[in-house]
Amino acid sequence: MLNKLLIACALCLLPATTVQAEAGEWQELVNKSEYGDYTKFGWNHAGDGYFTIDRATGELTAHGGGGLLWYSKQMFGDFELELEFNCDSVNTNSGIFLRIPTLPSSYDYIHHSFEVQIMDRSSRGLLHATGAIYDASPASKLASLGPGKWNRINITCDGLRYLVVLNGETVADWLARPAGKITDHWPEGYLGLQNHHGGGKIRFRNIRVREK
Amino acid sequence: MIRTSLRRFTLALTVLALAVTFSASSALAQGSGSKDGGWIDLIKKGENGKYNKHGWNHYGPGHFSLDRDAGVLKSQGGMGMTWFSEQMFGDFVLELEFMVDDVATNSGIFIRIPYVPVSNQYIYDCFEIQIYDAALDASKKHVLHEGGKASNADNPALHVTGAIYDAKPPTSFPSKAVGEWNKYKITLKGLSYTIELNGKLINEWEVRPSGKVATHWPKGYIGLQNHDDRSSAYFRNIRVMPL
Repeated sequence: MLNKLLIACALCLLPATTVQAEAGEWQELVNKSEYGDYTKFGWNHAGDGYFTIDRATGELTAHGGGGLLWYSKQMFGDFELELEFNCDSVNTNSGIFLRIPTLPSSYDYIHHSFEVQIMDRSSRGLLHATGAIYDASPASKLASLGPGKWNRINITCDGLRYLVVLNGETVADWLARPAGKITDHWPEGYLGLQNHHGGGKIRFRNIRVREK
Repeated sequence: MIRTSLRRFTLALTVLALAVTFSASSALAQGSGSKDGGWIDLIKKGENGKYNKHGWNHYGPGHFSLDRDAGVLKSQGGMGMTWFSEQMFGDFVLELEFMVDDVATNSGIFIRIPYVPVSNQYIYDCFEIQIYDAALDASKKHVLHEGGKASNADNPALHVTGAIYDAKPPTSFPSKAVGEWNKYKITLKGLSYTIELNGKLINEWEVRPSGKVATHWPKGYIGLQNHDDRSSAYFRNIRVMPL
Protein backbone atom coordinates (compact mmCIF):
# COMPACT_ATOMS: atom_id res chain seq x y z
CA MET A 1 0.00 0.00 0.00
CA LEU A 2 2.76 2.39 0.98
CA ASN A 3 4.58 1.49 -2.26
CA LYS A 4 1.50 2.28 -4.31
CA LEU A 5 1.13 5.65 -2.59
CA LEU A 6 4.76 6.44 -3.26
CA ILE A 7 4.35 5.53 -6.93
CA ALA A 8 1.21 7.64 -7.15
CA CYS A 9 3.02 10.61 -5.61
CA ALA A 10 5.97 10.08 -7.93
CA LEU A 11 3.63 10.02 -10.94
CA CYS A 12 2.09 13.33 -9.84
CA LEU A 13 5.53 14.92 -9.87
CA LEU A 14 6.29 13.81 -13.43
CA PRO A 15 5.60 16.21 -16.31
CA ALA A 16 2.04 16.00 -17.57
CA THR A 17 3.06 14.58 -20.96
CA THR A 18 4.70 11.59 -19.35
CA VAL A 19 1.61 10.85 -17.31
CA GLN A 20 -0.47 11.10 -20.47
CA ALA A 21 1.72 8.55 -22.21
CA GLU A 22 0.93 6.10 -19.44
CA ALA A 23 -2.80 6.41 -20.11
CA GLY A 24 -3.20 3.50 -22.52
CA GLU A 25 -2.46 -0.18 -22.00
CA TRP A 26 -0.21 -1.88 -24.51
CA GLN A 27 -2.35 -3.87 -26.90
CA GLU A 28 -0.84 -6.71 -28.93
CA LEU A 29 -2.05 -6.67 -32.54
CA VAL A 30 -1.10 -10.27 -33.34
CA ASN A 31 -2.76 -12.65 -30.94
CA LYS A 32 -3.15 -16.33 -30.20
CA SER A 33 -6.36 -18.19 -30.83
CA GLU A 34 -8.14 -20.22 -28.17
CA TYR A 35 -6.04 -23.19 -29.38
CA GLY A 36 -2.76 -21.46 -28.52
CA ASP A 37 -1.52 -20.78 -32.06
CA TYR A 38 -1.01 -17.30 -33.47
CA THR A 39 -3.58 -16.20 -36.04
CA LYS A 40 -4.31 -13.22 -38.25
CA PHE A 41 -7.47 -12.50 -36.29
CA GLY A 42 -8.12 -8.77 -36.54
CA TRP A 43 -6.28 -8.30 -39.85
CA ASN A 44 -7.34 -8.10 -43.48
CA HIS A 45 -5.26 -7.85 -46.62
CA ALA A 46 -5.94 -5.52 -49.54
CA GLY A 47 -4.22 -5.66 -52.91
CA ASP A 48 -1.78 -8.13 -54.40
CA GLY A 49 0.39 -10.65 -52.59
CA TYR A 50 -0.27 -11.72 -49.03
CA PHE A 51 1.24 -12.23 -45.59
CA THR A 52 1.81 -15.57 -43.94
CA ILE A 53 1.99 -16.04 -40.19
CA ASP A 54 4.22 -18.38 -38.21
CA ARG A 55 1.66 -20.00 -35.96
CA ALA A 56 4.26 -20.79 -33.30
CA THR A 57 5.99 -17.40 -33.05
CA GLY A 58 3.45 -14.95 -34.49
CA GLU A 59 5.93 -13.60 -37.04
CA LEU A 60 4.34 -12.16 -40.18
CA THR A 61 6.14 -12.58 -43.52
CA ALA A 62 5.30 -10.53 -46.61
CA HIS A 63 4.94 -12.19 -50.02
CA GLY A 64 4.61 -10.46 -53.39
CA GLY A 65 2.78 -7.20 -53.68
CA GLY A 66 1.92 -4.41 -53.69
CA GLY A 67 -0.51 -4.93 -50.96
CA LEU A 68 -1.34 -4.02 -47.41
CA LEU A 69 -2.11 -5.99 -44.29
CA TRP A 70 -4.19 -3.70 -42.12
CA TYR A 71 -5.49 -4.06 -38.60
CA SER A 72 -9.24 -3.90 -39.12
CA LYS A 73 -10.55 -4.14 -35.59
CA GLN A 74 -10.18 -0.48 -34.79
CA MET A 75 -8.82 2.87 -35.90
CA PHE A 76 -6.19 4.63 -33.83
CA GLY A 77 -5.93 8.40 -33.40
CA ASP A 78 -3.13 9.46 -31.06
CA PHE A 79 -1.00 6.46 -30.25
CA GLU A 80 2.39 4.89 -29.86
CA LEU A 81 3.16 1.91 -32.09
CA GLU A 82 6.07 -0.41 -31.48
CA LEU A 83 7.22 -3.32 -33.60
CA GLU A 84 10.25 -5.21 -34.85
CA PHE A 85 11.09 -5.85 -38.49
CA ASN A 86 13.72 -7.89 -40.29
CA CYS A 87 14.59 -7.46 -43.99
CA ASP A 88 16.48 -10.09 -45.96
CA SER A 89 17.95 -7.53 -48.39
CA VAL A 90 18.86 -3.85 -48.60
CA ASN A 91 16.41 -3.73 -51.52
CA THR A 92 13.46 -4.90 -49.42
CA ASN A 93 10.71 -2.35 -49.80
CA SER A 94 8.03 -2.10 -47.17
CA GLY A 95 6.57 0.35 -44.72
CA ILE A 96 4.11 1.05 -41.97
CA PHE A 97 0.99 3.01 -42.87
CA LEU A 98 -0.56 5.23 -40.23
CA ARG A 99 -4.10 6.56 -39.90
CA ILE A 100 -5.56 5.05 -43.08
CA PRO A 101 -8.86 6.94 -43.02
CA THR A 102 -11.12 4.43 -44.79
CA LEU A 103 -11.37 0.72 -45.35
CA PRO A 104 -8.69 0.18 -48.04
CA SER A 105 -10.22 -1.32 -51.18
CA SER A 106 -7.77 0.07 -53.76
CA TYR A 107 -4.39 1.84 -53.66
CA ASP A 108 -6.14 5.13 -52.93
CA TYR A 109 -5.00 5.07 -49.30
CA ILE A 110 -1.42 5.95 -50.27
CA HIS A 111 -2.60 9.50 -50.94
CA HIS A 112 -4.47 9.91 -47.66
CA SER A 113 -2.18 8.46 -45.02
CA PHE A 114 1.51 8.65 -44.16
CA GLU A 115 3.89 5.72 -44.43
CA VAL A 116 6.99 5.24 -42.33
CA GLN A 117 9.23 3.80 -45.00
CA ILE A 118 11.36 0.67 -44.83
CA MET A 119 13.98 0.46 -47.59
CA ASP A 120 17.67 0.61 -46.80
CA ARG A 121 18.86 1.25 -50.36
CA SER A 122 16.72 4.01 -51.79
CA SER A 123 17.32 5.71 -55.11
CA ARG A 124 15.95 8.94 -53.69
CA GLY A 125 18.10 9.14 -50.60
CA LEU A 126 16.78 9.62 -47.11
CA LEU A 127 13.35 10.88 -48.27
CA HIS A 128 12.50 7.29 -49.25
CA ALA A 129 14.81 5.42 -46.90
CA THR A 130 14.11 3.44 -43.75
CA GLY A 131 12.73 5.72 -41.04
CA ALA A 132 11.50 8.46 -43.39
CA ILE A 133 7.91 9.64 -43.49
CA TYR A 134 7.71 8.56 -47.12
CA ASP A 135 7.79 11.41 -49.63
CA ALA A 136 7.21 13.91 -46.83
CA SER A 137 9.99 14.07 -44.26
CA PRO A 138 13.39 12.44 -44.80
CA ALA A 139 15.05 10.27 -42.19
CA SER A 140 17.74 12.20 -40.35
CA LYS A 141 20.02 9.20 -40.81
CA LEU A 142 19.92 5.56 -41.81
CA ALA A 143 19.62 3.92 -38.41
CA SER A 144 18.62 0.44 -39.55
CA LEU A 145 20.86 -2.49 -38.70
CA GLY A 146 20.98 -4.11 -42.15
CA PRO A 147 19.70 -7.36 -43.63
CA GLY A 148 19.01 -10.25 -41.30
CA LYS A 149 18.89 -8.09 -38.16
CA TRP A 150 15.83 -7.34 -36.09
CA ASN A 151 15.18 -3.61 -35.95
CA ARG A 152 12.95 -2.06 -33.34
CA ILE A 153 10.87 0.89 -34.44
CA ASN A 154 8.73 3.10 -32.28
CA ILE A 155 6.27 5.47 -33.93
CA THR A 156 4.27 8.10 -32.07
CA CYS A 157 1.38 9.99 -33.65
CA ASP A 158 0.24 12.79 -31.38
CA GLY A 159 -2.00 15.28 -33.13
CA LEU A 160 0.06 16.60 -36.01
CA ARG A 161 3.33 15.33 -34.57
CA TYR A 162 4.87 12.21 -36.11
CA LEU A 163 7.85 10.89 -34.18
CA VAL A 164 9.91 7.91 -35.36
CA VAL A 165 12.54 6.26 -33.21
CA LEU A 166 14.53 3.50 -34.91
CA ASN A 167 16.80 1.31 -32.82
CA GLY A 168 16.83 3.96 -30.11
CA GLU A 169 17.65 6.86 -32.42
CA THR A 170 15.18 9.58 -33.36
CA VAL A 171 15.11 9.60 -37.16
CA ALA A 172 12.00 11.70 -37.81
CA ASP A 173 10.17 14.28 -35.75
CA TRP A 174 7.73 16.09 -37.96
CA LEU A 175 4.54 18.12 -37.98
CA ALA A 176 2.20 16.66 -40.59
CA ARG A 177 0.99 18.59 -43.61
CA PRO A 178 0.10 17.47 -47.13
CA ALA A 179 3.42 16.58 -48.74
CA GLY A 180 4.66 14.67 -51.77
CA LYS A 181 2.04 12.24 -52.97
CA ILE A 182 -0.05 12.65 -49.81
CA THR A 183 -2.88 15.08 -50.52
CA ASP A 184 -4.58 14.95 -47.13
CA HIS A 185 -4.18 13.35 -43.74
CA TRP A 186 -6.61 12.44 -41.02
CA PRO A 187 -6.75 12.48 -37.24
CA GLU A 188 -7.33 8.74 -36.97
CA GLY A 189 -7.30 5.62 -39.05
CA TYR A 190 -6.12 2.05 -39.50
CA LEU A 191 -2.56 0.77 -39.15
CA GLY A 192 -1.15 -1.21 -42.07
CA LEU A 193 1.97 -3.13 -43.08
CA GLN A 194 3.08 -3.06 -46.69
CA ASN A 195 4.14 -5.95 -48.89
CA HIS A 196 5.57 -3.98 -51.79
CA HIS A 197 6.92 -6.60 -54.18
CA GLY A 198 8.50 -10.00 -54.20
CA GLY A 199 12.10 -8.73 -54.48
CA GLY A 200 13.14 -8.74 -50.83
CA LYS A 201 11.30 -10.33 -47.97
CA ILE A 202 10.36 -8.66 -44.72
CA ARG A 203 9.16 -10.09 -41.44
CA PHE A 204 7.36 -8.31 -38.61
CA ARG A 205 6.93 -9.33 -34.97
CA ASN A 206 5.96 -8.01 -31.53
CA ILE A 207 3.51 -5.48 -32.93
CA ARG A 208 1.83 -3.53 -30.18
CA VAL A 209 0.13 -0.22 -29.76
CA ARG A 210 -1.10 1.97 -26.96
CA GLU A 211 -3.42 4.90 -27.28
CA LYS A 212 -2.43 8.24 -25.84
CA MET B 1 -23.58 -17.82 -22.18
CA ILE B 2 -21.04 -18.10 -24.93
CA ARG B 3 -23.81 -17.63 -27.47
CA THR B 4 -24.98 -14.46 -25.66
CA SER B 5 -21.52 -12.97 -25.53
CA LEU B 6 -20.96 -13.92 -29.18
CA ARG B 7 -24.15 -12.15 -30.13
CA ARG B 8 -23.16 -9.09 -28.14
CA PHE B 9 -19.80 -9.19 -29.85
CA THR B 10 -21.53 -9.56 -33.20
CA LEU B 11 -23.79 -6.61 -32.49
CA ALA B 12 -20.87 -4.51 -31.38
CA LEU B 13 -18.97 -5.44 -34.51
CA THR B 14 -21.98 -4.69 -36.67
CA VAL B 15 -22.35 -1.27 -35.15
CA LEU B 16 -18.64 -0.74 -35.63
CA ALA B 17 -18.79 -1.91 -39.23
CA LEU B 18 -21.75 0.33 -39.98
CA ALA B 19 -20.03 3.27 -38.33
CA VAL B 20 -16.90 2.58 -40.35
CA THR B 21 -18.94 2.25 -43.53
CA PHE B 22 -20.74 5.54 -42.97
CA SER B 23 -17.63 7.44 -41.94
CA ALA B 24 -15.80 5.93 -44.93
CA SER B 25 -18.44 7.03 -47.41
CA SER B 26 -18.55 10.53 -45.98
CA ALA B 27 -14.82 10.98 -45.57
CA LEU B 28 -13.81 9.98 -49.06
CA ALA B 29 -15.70 9.21 -52.21
CA GLN B 30 -14.91 5.54 -52.75
CA GLY B 31 -15.03 4.18 -56.26
CA SER B 32 -17.91 1.82 -56.91
CA GLY B 33 -17.93 -1.08 -59.31
CA SER B 34 -18.25 -0.45 -63.02
CA LYS B 35 -21.93 -0.39 -63.93
CA ASP B 36 -23.53 -1.85 -67.00
CA GLY B 37 -27.32 -1.75 -67.11
CA GLY B 38 -27.58 -2.23 -63.37
CA TRP B 39 -24.89 -4.89 -63.20
CA ILE B 40 -21.76 -4.18 -61.19
CA ASP B 41 -18.67 -6.15 -62.18
CA LEU B 42 -16.79 -7.09 -59.04
CA ILE B 43 -13.51 -7.84 -60.82
CA LYS B 44 -12.46 -4.90 -62.90
CA LYS B 45 -9.70 -3.93 -65.28
CA GLY B 46 -7.33 -1.09 -64.55
CA GLU B 47 -6.24 1.63 -66.94
CA ASN B 48 -3.54 -0.72 -68.22
CA GLY B 49 -6.20 -3.13 -69.49
CA LYS B 50 -5.30 -5.78 -66.90
CA TYR B 51 -7.59 -7.13 -64.22
CA ASN B 52 -6.75 -6.19 -60.62
CA LYS B 53 -8.02 -6.88 -57.13
CA HIS B 54 -9.24 -3.37 -56.44
CA GLY B 55 -12.36 -3.54 -54.34
CA TRP B 56 -11.38 -6.76 -52.57
CA ASN B 57 -9.84 -7.68 -49.25
CA HIS B 58 -8.76 -11.03 -47.90
CA TYR B 59 -9.33 -12.31 -44.39
CA GLY B 60 -7.61 -15.29 -42.77
CA PRO B 61 -5.04 -17.87 -43.87
CA GLY B 62 -4.22 -18.49 -47.53
CA HIS B 63 -5.04 -16.10 -50.33
CA PHE B 64 -6.43 -15.78 -53.85
CA SER B 65 -4.22 -15.28 -56.89
CA LEU B 66 -5.55 -13.39 -59.89
CA ASP B 67 -4.89 -14.08 -63.57
CA ARG B 68 -4.57 -10.48 -64.76
CA ASP B 69 -5.37 -11.30 -68.37
CA ALA B 70 -8.30 -13.67 -67.81
CA GLY B 71 -9.75 -12.11 -64.66
CA VAL B 72 -9.85 -15.49 -62.90
CA LEU B 73 -9.42 -15.74 -59.13
CA LYS B 74 -7.82 -18.96 -57.85
CA SER B 75 -8.00 -20.06 -54.22
CA GLN B 76 -4.73 -20.89 -52.45
CA GLY B 77 -4.54 -22.57 -49.04
CA GLY B 78 -6.99 -21.74 -46.31
CA MET B 79 -9.23 -21.43 -44.55
CA GLY B 80 -9.85 -17.84 -45.52
CA MET B 81 -12.05 -15.64 -47.62
CA THR B 82 -11.73 -12.87 -50.14
CA TRP B 83 -14.57 -10.38 -49.85
CA PHE B 84 -15.72 -7.45 -51.92
CA SER B 85 -15.12 -4.56 -49.56
CA GLU B 86 -16.31 -1.61 -51.62
CA GLN B 87 -19.91 -2.00 -50.60
CA MET B 88 -22.49 -4.15 -48.85
CA PHE B 89 -25.41 -5.59 -50.77
CA GLY B 90 -28.92 -6.19 -49.40
CA ASP B 91 -31.33 -7.46 -52.06
CA PHE B 92 -29.46 -8.48 -55.17
CA VAL B 93 -28.79 -10.96 -57.96
CA LEU B 94 -25.26 -12.36 -57.91
CA GLU B 95 -23.96 -14.16 -60.98
CA LEU B 96 -20.61 -15.86 -61.22
CA GLU B 97 -18.83 -18.77 -62.80
CA PHE B 98 -16.77 -21.26 -60.84
CA MET B 99 -14.64 -24.28 -61.62
CA VAL B 100 -13.02 -26.87 -59.39
CA ASP B 101 -9.77 -28.70 -60.16
CA ASP B 102 -10.64 -31.73 -58.03
CA VAL B 103 -13.87 -33.42 -57.02
CA ALA B 104 -12.84 -32.79 -53.40
CA THR B 105 -12.46 -29.03 -53.85
CA ASN B 106 -14.24 -27.26 -51.03
CA SER B 107 -15.31 -23.65 -51.39
CA GLY B 108 -18.35 -21.47 -51.24
CA ILE B 109 -19.86 -18.06 -51.58
CA PHE B 110 -20.69 -16.10 -48.45
CA ILE B 111 -23.53 -13.63 -48.72
CA ARG B 112 -24.56 -10.74 -46.50
CA ILE B 113 -21.47 -10.86 -44.27
CA PRO B 114 -22.69 -8.24 -41.81
CA TYR B 115 -19.35 -6.67 -40.77
CA VAL B 116 -15.68 -6.46 -41.64
CA PRO B 117 -14.43 -9.96 -40.77
CA VAL B 118 -11.81 -9.92 -38.01
CA SER B 119 -12.17 -13.52 -36.82
CA ASN B 120 -13.93 -16.67 -38.00
CA GLN B 121 -17.10 -15.46 -36.30
CA TYR B 122 -18.60 -14.46 -39.66
CA ILE B 123 -19.41 -18.09 -40.47
CA TYR B 124 -22.05 -17.96 -37.73
CA ASP B 125 -23.58 -14.69 -38.91
CA CYS B 126 -24.23 -15.25 -42.60
CA PHE B 127 -25.00 -18.06 -45.01
CA GLU B 128 -22.69 -19.78 -47.48
CA ILE B 129 -23.74 -21.17 -50.83
CA GLN B 130 -21.63 -24.29 -50.88
CA ILE B 131 -19.27 -25.70 -53.49
CA TYR B 132 -18.37 -29.32 -52.71
CA ASP B 133 -18.85 -31.95 -55.39
CA ALA B 134 -17.35 -34.73 -53.25
CA ALA B 135 -20.78 -35.01 -51.59
CA LEU B 136 -22.62 -35.44 -54.91
CA ASP B 137 -22.83 -39.24 -54.96
CA ALA B 138 -23.90 -39.52 -51.33
CA SER B 139 -26.44 -36.73 -51.82
CA LYS B 140 -28.00 -38.40 -54.85
CA LYS B 141 -28.26 -41.71 -52.96
CA HIS B 142 -29.79 -39.92 -50.01
CA VAL B 143 -32.43 -38.38 -52.24
CA LEU B 144 -33.21 -41.79 -53.76
CA HIS B 145 -33.68 -43.41 -50.36
CA GLU B 146 -35.35 -40.58 -48.51
CA GLY B 147 -37.31 -39.15 -51.38
CA GLY B 148 -35.56 -35.81 -50.97
CA LYS B 149 -37.54 -35.03 -47.83
CA ALA B 150 -34.87 -35.68 -45.28
CA SER B 151 -33.63 -32.59 -43.53
CA ASN B 152 -31.71 -34.26 -40.75
CA ALA B 153 -28.22 -33.11 -39.89
CA ASP B 154 -26.70 -36.24 -41.45
CA ASN B 155 -28.02 -35.34 -44.87
CA PRO B 156 -24.92 -35.03 -47.09
CA ALA B 157 -26.90 -32.74 -49.39
CA LEU B 158 -26.72 -30.04 -46.71
CA HIS B 159 -23.04 -29.70 -47.60
CA VAL B 160 -23.03 -30.34 -51.35
CA THR B 161 -22.70 -27.89 -54.23
CA GLY B 162 -25.92 -25.90 -54.38
CA ALA B 163 -26.70 -26.23 -50.69
CA ILE B 164 -27.18 -23.29 -48.40
CA TYR B 165 -24.54 -24.70 -46.12
CA ASP B 166 -25.86 -26.48 -43.05
CA ALA B 167 -29.32 -25.03 -43.70
CA LYS B 168 -31.07 -26.13 -46.90
CA PRO B 169 -30.11 -28.87 -49.40
CA PRO B 170 -30.61 -28.34 -53.14
CA THR B 171 -33.38 -30.23 -54.92
CA SER B 172 -31.08 -31.43 -57.71
CA PHE B 173 -27.38 -31.61 -58.49
CA PRO B 174 -26.50 -30.19 -61.91
CA SER B 175 -22.75 -29.66 -61.21
CA LYS B 176 -20.55 -29.98 -64.25
CA ALA B 177 -17.48 -32.19 -64.37
CA VAL B 178 -14.18 -31.25 -62.75
CA GLY B 179 -12.40 -28.70 -64.95
CA GLU B 180 -15.59 -27.29 -66.48
CA TRP B 181 -17.08 -23.91 -65.68
CA ASN B 182 -20.34 -23.82 -63.71
CA LYS B 183 -22.64 -20.84 -63.42
CA TYR B 184 -24.33 -19.75 -60.23
CA LYS B 185 -27.18 -17.28 -60.10
CA ILE B 186 -28.00 -16.35 -56.52
CA THR B 187 -30.95 -14.09 -55.78
CA LEU B 188 -31.62 -12.61 -52.35
CA LYS B 189 -34.74 -10.59 -51.80
CA GLY B 190 -35.78 -9.96 -48.24
CA LEU B 191 -35.95 -13.36 -46.56
CA SER B 192 -36.08 -15.20 -49.86
CA TYR B 193 -32.95 -17.02 -51.08
CA THR B 194 -33.06 -18.52 -54.60
CA ILE B 195 -30.25 -20.42 -56.29
CA GLU B 196 -29.88 -21.49 -59.90
CA LEU B 197 -26.97 -23.67 -60.97
CA ASN B 198 -26.15 -24.06 -64.65
CA GLY B 199 -29.56 -22.66 -65.61
CA LYS B 200 -31.54 -24.93 -63.32
CA LEU B 201 -33.49 -23.78 -60.27
CA ILE B 202 -32.11 -25.93 -57.43
CA ASN B 203 -32.84 -24.14 -54.18
CA GLU B 204 -35.59 -21.89 -52.85
CA TRP B 205 -35.66 -21.00 -49.20
CA GLU B 206 -36.94 -18.56 -46.66
CA VAL B 207 -33.99 -17.69 -44.47
CA ARG B 208 -33.93 -18.37 -40.74
CA PRO B 209 -31.18 -19.28 -38.26
CA SER B 210 -30.20 -22.85 -39.19
CA GLY B 211 -27.39 -25.28 -38.46
CA LYS B 212 -24.30 -23.42 -37.35
CA VAL B 213 -25.64 -20.06 -38.48
CA ALA B 214 -27.06 -18.21 -35.48
CA THR B 215 -27.89 -14.83 -37.03
CA HIS B 216 -28.56 -13.42 -40.47
CA TRP B 217 -28.73 -9.81 -41.57
CA PRO B 218 -30.52 -7.72 -44.18
CA LYS B 219 -27.32 -6.72 -45.93
CA GLY B 220 -23.62 -7.43 -45.99
CA TYR B 221 -20.49 -8.18 -47.97
CA ILE B 222 -20.05 -10.94 -50.56
CA GLY B 223 -17.13 -13.34 -50.01
CA LEU B 224 -15.45 -16.29 -51.74
CA GLN B 225 -13.92 -19.04 -49.64
CA ASN B 226 -10.44 -20.53 -49.96
CA HIS B 227 -10.91 -23.62 -47.83
CA ASP B 228 -7.67 -25.62 -47.89
CA ASP B 229 -4.44 -26.28 -49.79
CA ARG B 230 -5.40 -29.66 -51.27
CA SER B 231 -7.19 -28.27 -54.31
CA SER B 232 -8.42 -25.01 -55.76
CA ALA B 233 -11.63 -23.27 -56.75
CA TYR B 234 -11.61 -20.74 -59.61
CA PHE B 235 -14.00 -17.82 -60.04
CA ARG B 236 -14.67 -15.43 -62.92
CA ASN B 237 -17.31 -13.08 -64.36
CA ILE B 238 -18.55 -12.10 -60.91
CA ARG B 239 -21.29 -9.49 -61.12
CA VAL B 240 -24.06 -8.14 -58.93
CA MET B 241 -27.30 -6.38 -59.73
CA PRO B 242 -28.80 -4.63 -56.68
CA LEU B 243 -32.59 -5.05 -56.55
